[in-house]
Amino acid sequence: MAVYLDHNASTPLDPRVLEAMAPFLRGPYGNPSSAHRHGRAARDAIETARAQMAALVTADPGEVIFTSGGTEANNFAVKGVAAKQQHGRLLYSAIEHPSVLEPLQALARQGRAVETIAVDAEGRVDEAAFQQQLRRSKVALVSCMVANNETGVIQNTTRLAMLARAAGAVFHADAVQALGKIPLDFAASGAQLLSVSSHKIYGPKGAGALIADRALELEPLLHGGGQERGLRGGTENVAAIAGFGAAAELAGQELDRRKTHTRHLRERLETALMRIPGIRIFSAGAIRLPNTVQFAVPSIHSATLLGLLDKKGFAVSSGSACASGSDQASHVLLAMGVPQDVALCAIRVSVGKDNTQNEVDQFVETLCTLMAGLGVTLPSVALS
Amino acid sequence: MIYLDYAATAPLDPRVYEAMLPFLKPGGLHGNPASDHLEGRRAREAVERAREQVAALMGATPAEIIWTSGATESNNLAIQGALEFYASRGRHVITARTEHKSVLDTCRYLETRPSPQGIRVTYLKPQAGGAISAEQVLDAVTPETVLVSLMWVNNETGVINDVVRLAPKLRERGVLFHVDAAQAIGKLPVCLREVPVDLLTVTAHKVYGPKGIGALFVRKQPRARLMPQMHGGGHEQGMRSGTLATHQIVGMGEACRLAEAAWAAEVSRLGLLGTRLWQELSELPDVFLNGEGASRVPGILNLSFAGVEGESLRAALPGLMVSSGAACSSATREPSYVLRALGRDEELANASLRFSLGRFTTEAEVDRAAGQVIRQVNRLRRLSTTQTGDAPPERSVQKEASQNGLHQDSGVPFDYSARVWDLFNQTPRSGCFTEGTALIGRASTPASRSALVLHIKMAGNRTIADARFQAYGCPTTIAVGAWLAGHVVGQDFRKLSELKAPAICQALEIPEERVHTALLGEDVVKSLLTQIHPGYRPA
Repeated sequence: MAVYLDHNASTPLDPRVLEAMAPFLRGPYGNPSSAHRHGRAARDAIETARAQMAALVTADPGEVIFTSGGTEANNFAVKGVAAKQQHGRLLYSAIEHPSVLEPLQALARQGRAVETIAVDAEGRVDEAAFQQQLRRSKVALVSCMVANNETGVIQNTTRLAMLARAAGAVFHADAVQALGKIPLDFAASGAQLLSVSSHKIYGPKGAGALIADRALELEPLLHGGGQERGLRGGTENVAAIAGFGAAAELAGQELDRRKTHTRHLRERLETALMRIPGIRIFSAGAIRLPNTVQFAVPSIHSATLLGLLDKKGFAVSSGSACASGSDQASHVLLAMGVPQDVALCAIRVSVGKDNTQNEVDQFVETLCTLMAGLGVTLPSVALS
Repeated sequence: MIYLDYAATAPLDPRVYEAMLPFLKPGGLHGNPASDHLEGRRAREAVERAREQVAALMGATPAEIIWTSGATESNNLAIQGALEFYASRGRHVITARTEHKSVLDTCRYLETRPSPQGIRVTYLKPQAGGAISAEQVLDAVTPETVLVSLMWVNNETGVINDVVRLAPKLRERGVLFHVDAAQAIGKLPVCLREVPVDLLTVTAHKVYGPKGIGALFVRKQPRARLMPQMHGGGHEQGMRSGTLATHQIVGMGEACRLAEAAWAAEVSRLGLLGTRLWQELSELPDVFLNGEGASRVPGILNLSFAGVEGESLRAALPGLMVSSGAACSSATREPSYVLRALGRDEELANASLRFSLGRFTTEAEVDRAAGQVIRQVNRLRRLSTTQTGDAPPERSVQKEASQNGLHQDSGVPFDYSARVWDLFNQTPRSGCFTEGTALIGRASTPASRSALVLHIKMAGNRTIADARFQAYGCPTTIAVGAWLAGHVVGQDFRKLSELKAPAICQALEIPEERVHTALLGEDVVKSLLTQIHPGYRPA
């Protein structure tokens, strides 16, 4: 018996999405840049997907630039703006995904002024401090994620975008985790750049997009070939893009149902967790994604607990899948002021549209059994 | 429909699809290969197995394979990554004018960067046969040279560069060598244990694998170093971050495994098919094989057809899927820079077709393709304004088009109106009169290199009894000629002075951007009117 509760890392491919991809995997089809018939069929599929993607985030299809995934979209946004705006500081929230903060750190090593924006104990951007940062000197770019992959905390990006734009900065929002879980409105958000990824919304891995205001100047990350209005070279991954489009359409249709379902499961899980003394739920006081809960069982290192849960058939994570294997505490939790020893015990559960109440109940039951087995007779340490 | 565009993209091998399915289908292996749980580990194992398969095909070790989203990314990463890492060694790069756009555009971008990131680039010109010789490269090396980026096999012509001989010489001089092998893998023996290139680009969709996945070979001993271009998460030894697309990687692995097993047999089969196609097509006069005399991979034939206009040539062959050069440049509609670099003039470069054969190509397809090309080149040449003598109206063309099933399934396969398409395909009243006296109107537009000639015979002083046309140009130009020749018959010539471009546009549904073809029609009528009535002055 396997229970998959790691949907923020990757979601299973929806069978309906596979159906949309299959013609481009099985059938004879061409390079979308080729002028002949098969090439045009591939191009039509890409344009359909572009419209589907645009509809999900209330953007114009002309604003959708397909990429190989969320990481590329984030790198493209950050480096694309920095290359065109040689002056001004680059700001990012302290809880950004590595695919935003690492390109920024690389730019810092090349001499660019880069700064983090602080978050409060719940993981929300400290608006007052942010406003002060904006006033200090010219800011070229502000990058802030819509929803955090670990805690699920949702930022008020519309407000942050307004402040950033008023200060003359470009605003980029990483919406990889938010997409398909909460409504997104690019047109109304004030953001000029929005990153999204396919495999977090039951689409295939290997596709993502950067939604970009057409008035914004961007340097391509991948040069050559002239695809995607000259902004992203490379033969398009037609099957994956078609799948991404289909997944986007389904996400739009089922958004409310998925929200309600996952929120119900998450709340049931949290209610149970809160009955276990000593467990700390992160960002419990903030507005969060409906499907995500991150908690710590202090004194049990997450690697230990994850290993045991894995043996029992439960797939969960400590936080970001990308950082797995490393023995470092989550930078997100540390930025929130969580002590290192507690942060090292973090477990993230992210439920999906196909999880059941029974699966969540089994998880809680197994967790309690494992804790008891580890001799953690529910510590009475008051953590807060 | 005949697919001879394998160098643009090869269809997925059904066996590759089978190998990918477990990672796509319901209840399959959907984990993130970076995850630490069972789902993640199973995905990771599949990724590592594929890495071994890709490494095996090119005689590399698995740790030397870095996954990317395809050849474009591999080329960008190799060039930018190496130049950033070795910035202190020098700022000079050698490449060739015949490289793929992803190499050229990356170099051009880096040239425009301000110092210290900016670089100086030498773009080598190919020799007459199309190859870049090892001597040319070595002569261009300076103490400042950090990197040479050269493709193993040219995507447009199939011409092979002598990477095997060049690599050890560049190694001796301490210059890093990047090779774009996107077109070489599966067509040439590639053994990187023996050929000391430092960085090598490969992609799956040219070897019957999926699109959206490729790899960069990064040598371990002596170790080539790169600055990552896509950061975040530290995947792929920190050289390329981003969630690995398991199903695509598995597909690339299987495609490489199949290629390794089959390449020798496949290469000799493609050699025979390619020779057959060339033998059949060389029956046509004035056909040039681009890259003739150079060493080429089997299965790619790039031919220039003198005396026909490129767009019409392609439009006349709707059932034949070939490229007019590299697919990537047909998105931008530029004439092939590779053929231009080979010394073909713009007109001839534009009238070129690349036939690339592959695993699923049959002898019958080759024969049918050759037949279609011969018929259509002959037809277009007969239509051309440079021809004299009466050309009989072509009857076989309509039949050919219906055989292709074009009119049945989706109407006009290009962006032409149905009227233009029909006239282009049927070209009624083409040719000229051989008997009796005819009046001849001529017009041409040097900019678009099109020309129209209208021949008429008068009945009495005013009525036009019969007309013929000749045309050289795009399908719309040819359609304008055919339409005019039909339109003027039975008319009082004086009424023709009222015939203006907007009316032609309307009659043939010619879009704004092709209005020059209608103006050519207007001009040819004006020219005719001055013949009929020497005193005629256009209003």
